[in-house]
Amino acid sequence: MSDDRRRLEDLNPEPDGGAGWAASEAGRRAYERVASRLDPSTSLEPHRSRVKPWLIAAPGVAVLLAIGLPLLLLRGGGTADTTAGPAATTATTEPATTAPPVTTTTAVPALTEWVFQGPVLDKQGVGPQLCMVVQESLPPQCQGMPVIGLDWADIPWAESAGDTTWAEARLVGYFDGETLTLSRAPAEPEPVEWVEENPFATPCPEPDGGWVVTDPALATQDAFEAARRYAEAQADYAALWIDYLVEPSEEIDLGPATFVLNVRFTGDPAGHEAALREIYGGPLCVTLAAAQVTAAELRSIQEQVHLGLNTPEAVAAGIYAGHGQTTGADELRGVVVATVFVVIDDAAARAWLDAKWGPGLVEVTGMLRRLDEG
Amino acid sequence: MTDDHDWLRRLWAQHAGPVYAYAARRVGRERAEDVVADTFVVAWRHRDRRPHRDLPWLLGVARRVIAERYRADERWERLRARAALNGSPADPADATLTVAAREVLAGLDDTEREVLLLSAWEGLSGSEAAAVLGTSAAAYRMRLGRARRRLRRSMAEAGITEAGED
Repeated sequence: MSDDRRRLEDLNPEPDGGAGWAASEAGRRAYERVASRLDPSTSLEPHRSRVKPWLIAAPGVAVLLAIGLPLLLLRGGGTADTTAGPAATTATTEPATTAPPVTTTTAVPALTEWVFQGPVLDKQGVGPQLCMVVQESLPPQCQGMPVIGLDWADIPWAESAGDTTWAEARLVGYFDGETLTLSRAPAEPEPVEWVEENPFATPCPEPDGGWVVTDPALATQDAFEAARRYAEAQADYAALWIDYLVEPSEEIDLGPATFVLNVRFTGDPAGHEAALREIYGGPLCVTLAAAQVTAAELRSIQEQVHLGLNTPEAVAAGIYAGHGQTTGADELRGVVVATVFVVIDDAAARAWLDAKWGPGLVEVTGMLRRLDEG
Repeated sequence: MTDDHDWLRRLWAQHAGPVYAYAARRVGRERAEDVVADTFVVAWRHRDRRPHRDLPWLLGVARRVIAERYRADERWERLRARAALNGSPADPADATLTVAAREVLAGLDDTEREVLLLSAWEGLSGSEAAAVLGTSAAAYRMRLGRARRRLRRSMAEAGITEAGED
C-alpha cells in the first residue's frame, strides 16, 4: 500500500464504519424518527420505468481507463477528458457552432414525452441547457439543447458558481425538434445501471501453460512500443488493445507480463503474429477482424459521419445532431459510434445509416429516450 | 406490516451503520443522526426505484442530503474543516504528521476529497464509488488517479511523504 493511501486510512475518524450503530440506542432513536415520517401514500406512486442512463447510452461503447497506460479510450459521449493517454479509438466532439441547428418538425411526434438524464447548466444570459459535453472548469461549461420551463427551485441539489448554476437531473418533457419543454417536475438522477460486460476480453484461447512471457528480453516497454509501431504501420491494421491479467492499480508495476497484447488485422493473422513474435515477448493474441474494416477506413468513415449527421438528410431520418454530437471509432467492433440528442425512431435511423455508410457500420444513439421505452 | 416495511427494517439493520459512519466522517457525529434519518426517509420515498446495490445508492442519497442540509449553510465550511480535522492519531508519536496530513486533506477540493475518501474510508470499489457520485466507473477511476496524484504531491510538499513518481 502506498504511503499516502496509508496516511489517508489513518485519518479515518470512524474506522469501525458505524458497526453496531444501527442497533444502538442512538440508532434505534433515529429509526423511530424515520418510521414516524414514512408516508404510506407514497407506496401508491406508479412504478417508473428505469431510463437508460446517459453515461452508458451508447451501446457497446465502453471505457477502459488505465492511468499511465498506453491504451484505449473509447467513448461516444459524456465528459471530454483525455488524461488517459493516447487513444486507439478516436473521439470527436461537435458542440453547437455558429451555424443554426438544422430543424424540422415533420418527423417529431408531438405527444411523446422524452427523458433526459445528465448534466443541466444555466449560464446567465444563455438560459438552461441539456449538456452533451461538459467542460470541467469552475464553473463548468457546456453547449447543448435549450430546455424550457426549468425552475431551479425544483432542483435543490443544484450547485452555483459565478453566473452559472448546474446539476445532474432527470428531466421529462416534449421535444419539438429544437428544445425540450418540461412536462413534469425535475427529479434526482436515477442510479446508473452498470454494464458489466468486458469488451476487452482476449478472444484467443489461453495457451497451454497460461498467459506467460515467452521472451523476457522482449517483454519491455520498448518492445511493446515497437509492436505497436509495427501493427499501426500495416495497411490491414484494425485494432490494438490490452487485456489485463491482473486488476489494474497504481500499486503494482503494470508491465507486459500483466496483460495480453491484442492486435487485430483484416488479413493474414498468422503472418502478422510471426512478425510480432520477432519483436514482442509478452502474452500476445493476434486475430482477424470480423468486420473487415481497417482502422484507417474507420477513421475516414468517422469523419464523414461527423459531417453527415448535422444535415437536413439526417433530420429527415429522425436524427437531431444540431445541438451537439460526439463521434468515435470503435475499432474493437469495427463500427463508428455517435451520440446525438435525439433519434426519433431507431429503425428509421438505422435504415438511413446502413444505406449511407454500409450495413451496421455506423451506430447512432440519442441521449433522450422515450419515457414509455423503459 | 407490509413487505416495504420489512424491506426498510432490513435496509436499516444492514446499512444504517455505514451510512452513519459516512455522515459522521463528513459533518460530525451529532449531525450524522439527522443525515441518516433523512437519508432513509428519502430512500423510502424512492424505494420503487432502488437499484440492485443498496449501499452505494444510500451513500449517494446521504451525500445529497448533506449537500442540501449544510452546503448552502455558512456553517458548511466550518463543519467540513472540523470533520477533516477530528479524530485522533493511532500512534501519538505520529501526531504531528497526522495533523499535517489532515490539513492536506482539508486543502483538497470537495470532489477530490470525496473521490479519495469513498475508496480509503468507505472502502468502496470503483463501481460502487462511481454510483455514489452518479458517474461512470471509468470517470471515477480517472478522477481517483488525478486526486491521488494531487494528494501525493501535496503530502510530499508538506514533508509528510517523500516525493514519488507521478
